[in-house]
Amino acid sequence: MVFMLSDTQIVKESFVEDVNNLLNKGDVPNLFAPDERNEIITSMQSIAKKTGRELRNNHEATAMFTERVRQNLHVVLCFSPIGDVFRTRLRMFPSLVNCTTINWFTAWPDEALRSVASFVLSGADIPGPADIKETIIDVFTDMQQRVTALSQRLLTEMKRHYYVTPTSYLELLNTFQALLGARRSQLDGARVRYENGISKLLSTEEQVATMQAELVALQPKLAQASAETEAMIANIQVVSAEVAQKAEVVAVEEGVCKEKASAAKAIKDDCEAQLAEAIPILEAAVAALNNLKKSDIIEVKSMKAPPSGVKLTMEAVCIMFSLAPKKVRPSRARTLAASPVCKCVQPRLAP
Amino acid sequence: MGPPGGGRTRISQRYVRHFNVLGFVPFSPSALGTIFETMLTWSTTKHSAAVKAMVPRIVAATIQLYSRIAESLLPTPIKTHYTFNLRDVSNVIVGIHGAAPSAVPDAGAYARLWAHEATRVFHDRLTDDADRKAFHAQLLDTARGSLGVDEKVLLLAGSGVAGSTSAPLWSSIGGAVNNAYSEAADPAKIANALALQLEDYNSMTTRPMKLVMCGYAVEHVLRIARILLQPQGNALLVGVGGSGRRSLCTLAAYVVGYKLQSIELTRSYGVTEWKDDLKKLLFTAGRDVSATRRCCSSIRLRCVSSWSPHDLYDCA
Repeated sequence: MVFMLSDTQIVKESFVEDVNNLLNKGDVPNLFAPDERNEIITSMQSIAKKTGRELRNNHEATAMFTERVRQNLHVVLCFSPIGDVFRTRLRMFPSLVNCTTINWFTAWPDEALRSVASFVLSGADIPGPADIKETIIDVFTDMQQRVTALSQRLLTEMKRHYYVTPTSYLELLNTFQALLGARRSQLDGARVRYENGISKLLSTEEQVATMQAELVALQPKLAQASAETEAMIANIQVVSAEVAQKAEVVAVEEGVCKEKASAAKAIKDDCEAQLAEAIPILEAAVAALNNLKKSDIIEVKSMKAPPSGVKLTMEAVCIMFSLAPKKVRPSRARTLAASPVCKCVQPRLAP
Repeated sequence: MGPPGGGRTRISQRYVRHFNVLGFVPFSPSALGTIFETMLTWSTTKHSAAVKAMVPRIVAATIQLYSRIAESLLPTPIKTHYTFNLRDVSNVIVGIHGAAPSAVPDAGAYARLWAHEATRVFHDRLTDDADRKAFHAQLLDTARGSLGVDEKVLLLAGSGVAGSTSAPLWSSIGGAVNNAYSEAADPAKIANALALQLEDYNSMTTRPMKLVMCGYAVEHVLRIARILLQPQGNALLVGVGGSGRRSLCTLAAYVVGYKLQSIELTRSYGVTEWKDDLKKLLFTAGRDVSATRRCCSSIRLRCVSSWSPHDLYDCA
């Protein structure tokens, strides 16, 4: 069986020491607990019995186990030569070199670069002349080799490492593939847009043609309609002349009406002016009436010989109510209040 | 104790004075030659006479190449892993040992197998083109001197730039001889076989991998598969992120029919979880051994588990 261990899996340096022991002796010291050691011994004894080998003691059984491990186990270590770690490990653990066959993976040669590139590109559909793929592969190979040479120059001139690994080459190929795909889809999109535009233009042209045909078909109808319109206009002109005559008659009548209206208005204004004069007098009278109190009436009633002013007023009131005034003696004047005059006046004087 | 240097500290004189010090000098080339010749002669009993005659020269060439490389490609701070030892020599010999007689019909094929195994063991860890060129120069030189063969026989057309040699790969997959470790003349055939296996894997897993079976990927899968099929074959794959270490290893494990196990990192993953995972791993590998290999695998394991040259050095 093969045990493969790469340097990325070495978490602790003690792993390397164990591998060193494994390479050298086929055993790792202090690995097995006592019960596990017993298990080994019993299993070795049963195997020995089958193969007809005789184990005299436990030590021989353990030795047989180690021997079988060394025969069956092939250790493959995958190390990276970059950095001090590799050097340190080789110096600390000599069995890594002494007990192994070293195989140094050089940078990929031209042929490997070419075949990997052609493998990757074989899936890609590249249009154009037949030798374009070969040319692309040439460019890839050339790029990788020249960058490798440049990184070597950087190391000698600037003492700085720049590692150009096969991984970066694969990355280059992948980037090319991705870019090719992206570009292609972009172009396809543009082409689809262009085709859409063209088809739109074509369909518009068709629509315009049909619309023109419709227009041509509509022309006679249009002429007919305009003739009808003209006839109608002539008709309307005749009618409007008649209307103008009637309008004149109406205008004359309107003038007469206006004069009458203005006369009526003058009368109305006059009335309103007279009314305006009368209204303050009425209002004054109403105000004076409002000032009258029951006690005033009683006072008048109680007058035995009313002064001339009062007499005059009362006489006027009688006239207003169209009652014949009665000349009474002063002694009977007291009953004035009971007279119909007073009765008529009284409710009006009430506040 | 190991000699001071590397990760080992110097032992103080006050401590050493309590002991009788016995120094172990490295094996002399002739001693090494005797050891490996014995092994290789034993493993080539069924091979042709031409191949048998090659054995001493192959062993001598391996040792010579090893000592030359250990001298010329020295560890530096950036290349800490340029440390070569006798395990590498034995890895070459084990690799050569793995080929079936039918896969190595003549001395030329045997020399190519040797060059391939040496390349896998010594060359695959090199980090830059200058070192790779230096290695190829050494390899050719050794081949000419010790084996008496030249680059035409070795089929080394190019200089092996950027981690790839133009020499044919040896593999159990898509090889000339069915399912045996043999020379694969046709890379396209291997790539097809691997692509089929990848399809198989993707149809069975919940995490399908999108891999391109280019020459780079094929070569690395074959390298990993070769390591996995070796007894006690452990691999250290070094590369920047995204270089395909994990996915190629997954595929290689699937192709050779091994169950792949890894750890699942969680937010709270710590030493306790790690120890539990290790225990599970060791129990599976040491006790439930039958479950570690897919039963329907089409690839045969090479039967080399009966002996192991590593045992020689563990006590040394």
